[in-house]
Amino acid sequence: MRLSDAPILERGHIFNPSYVLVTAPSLLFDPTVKPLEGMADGSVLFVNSSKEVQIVQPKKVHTIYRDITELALKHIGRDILSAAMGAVACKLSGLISLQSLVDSVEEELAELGLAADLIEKNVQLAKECYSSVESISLRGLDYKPSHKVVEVQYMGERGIPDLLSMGNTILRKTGSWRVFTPIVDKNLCTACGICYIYCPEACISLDEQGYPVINYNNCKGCLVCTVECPRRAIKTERETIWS
Amino acid sequence: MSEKSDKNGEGDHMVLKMLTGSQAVAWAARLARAEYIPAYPITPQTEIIEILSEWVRKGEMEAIFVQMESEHSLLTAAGTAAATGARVFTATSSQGLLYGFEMLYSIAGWRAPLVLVNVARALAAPITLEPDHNDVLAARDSGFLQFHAESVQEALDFVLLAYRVAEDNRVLLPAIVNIDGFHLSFTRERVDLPEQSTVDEFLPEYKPVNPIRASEPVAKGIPVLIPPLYSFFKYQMHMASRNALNVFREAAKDFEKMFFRSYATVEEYMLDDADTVIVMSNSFAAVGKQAVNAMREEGRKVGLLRIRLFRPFPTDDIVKSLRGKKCVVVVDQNISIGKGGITCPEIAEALYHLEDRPKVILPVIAGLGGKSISLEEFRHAVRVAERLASLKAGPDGPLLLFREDEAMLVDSLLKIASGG
Repeated sequence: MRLSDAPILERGHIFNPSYVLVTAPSLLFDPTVKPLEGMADGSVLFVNSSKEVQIVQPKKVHTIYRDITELALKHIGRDILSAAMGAVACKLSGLISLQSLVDSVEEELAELGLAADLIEKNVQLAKECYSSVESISLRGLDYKPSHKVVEVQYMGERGIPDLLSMGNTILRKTGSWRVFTPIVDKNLCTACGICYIYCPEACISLDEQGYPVINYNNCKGCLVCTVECPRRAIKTERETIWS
Repeated sequence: MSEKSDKNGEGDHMVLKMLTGSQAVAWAARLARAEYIPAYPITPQTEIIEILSEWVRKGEMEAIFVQMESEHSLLTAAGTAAATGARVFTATSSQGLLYGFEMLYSIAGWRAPLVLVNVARALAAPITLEPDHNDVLAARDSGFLQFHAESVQEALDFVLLAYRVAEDNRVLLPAIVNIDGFHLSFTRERVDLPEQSTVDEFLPEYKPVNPIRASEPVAKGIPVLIPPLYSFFKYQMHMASRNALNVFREAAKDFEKMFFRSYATVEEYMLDDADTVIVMSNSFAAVGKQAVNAMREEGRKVGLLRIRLFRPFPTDDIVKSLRGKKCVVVVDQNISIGKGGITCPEIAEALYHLEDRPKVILPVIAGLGGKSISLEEFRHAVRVAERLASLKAGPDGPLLLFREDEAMLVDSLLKIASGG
């Protein structure tokens, strides 16, 4: 979204954001996301989290925590956060009125073909999120990233896009994506192995007795296992903080 | 199907809307009353055809929408439908454009005007979804006219202008409108959505030349095994494309009267007193302008020239803009492997014979695969060009803009990939 009275000449990557909204606290520590990069003194960080998170941040950043997922579960019954986070951004910036927010949530979700009752639930969610934070106006943020130009060397064989280290998925800790965690109730589990077969990410292995063991480093929380378990032995718990 | 209806009417005034590039070009196709839309999905083009298929399904747009089985079929269907006299709209991207590539030359050779939106995405391998212009520029020799958009508004306006120029009897060539994937296709910007009746006035009904009709057989794109005939017909296409320069200028004048936005073949940004001029095209030119602003504040006389119409190549306007300047920095967001950027030699050729040609024309490669171009990278390119000018020396190859932080990222990923 690009809107201003003057022409906006920034495009693509935003090197020095004034407001950063993070949908899950686990993203704060994700080395491929790096949401805090380029933030200046006095900028605003919003984290969707039920708890405060220890952040190493060299800049004086105004940080706000709210549990928007809880509100989404309350209003929609699912962790769908687009209207919620949009509402927070509108309010924080102080640029968008509640009415404009409601109008655009209704318009955009109608464009997507959503049913009227689901649109109304999103509107209620957006309204509650809007009132859950205060506007923080910013002025005179000064951040000058240092971007040194370097020469690219010819790398021979290393410069060919070949992937030699197979099985490197474990390096990407996709466990941080979970909103709900599957937990096996050993009292109910019969070691039938159905969950092991169905897990689309091969994150379930079987122990010596044949009971499932979930690899929480990489389980994305898709919950296919909880649906497929014939004994309903895999419960779910909301993930509040991932470590 | 040629009968005009008021279904698309939006009242008496232009409507201001926040639209993505995808929505804007879909609206342009609708306002142009495109009658036939052959489609095949590919990221990042899919949103365009999703919108159009929905409008057609709901009866909001009077057109025939057909999902084909490939881009080769898509382009064949598009070209043949245009040859029957239908107004045709379609869209693709990257690998899709290349998959249908053979038909680009055929359609242009049939002299069948239609509008194809290319949502720029860099070519595999390696695979990416982010934009550069190797896809659209691969089609530069085909005979398609090429319009390159910087903003969502331009994306919409260029589709309308493209129909007007392509269907003009002095031209009769198909056209590509290029919009950068993500940066335009999925970005909402403020757009003046034109009113239907004004578009109808700007864009009269398409009157095909020798259309294919069931009762009146016509053979299009016939075999010519006599070499002079081939040579003759190809050069006719070239002259038709050159005609498109003035046809575009005429159309742009009418467009300005009706829609209050003016378009020249090139855009000059802070050029009047500039010593050094950055040449760019498409959406990343906005970042170039931002860099010009920053360098102006530092007291450097830098400007930017943006190419809107790439085919036909607006040689005269480029000469007017660049003659007498000290340095020209051509930022190509594409790479012809083994040579360098595609635009730079075209700019250099346009300027070569002038007495007052720039002292340095620096070929720069930047923004490949959607790589960001920071202010420091622009500054670096300008410094290199100005140093060469003071040394009375020329560049010894293209300058790749690449940063230390990016080199470190590449290094760490290469380590993972090699298991080291």
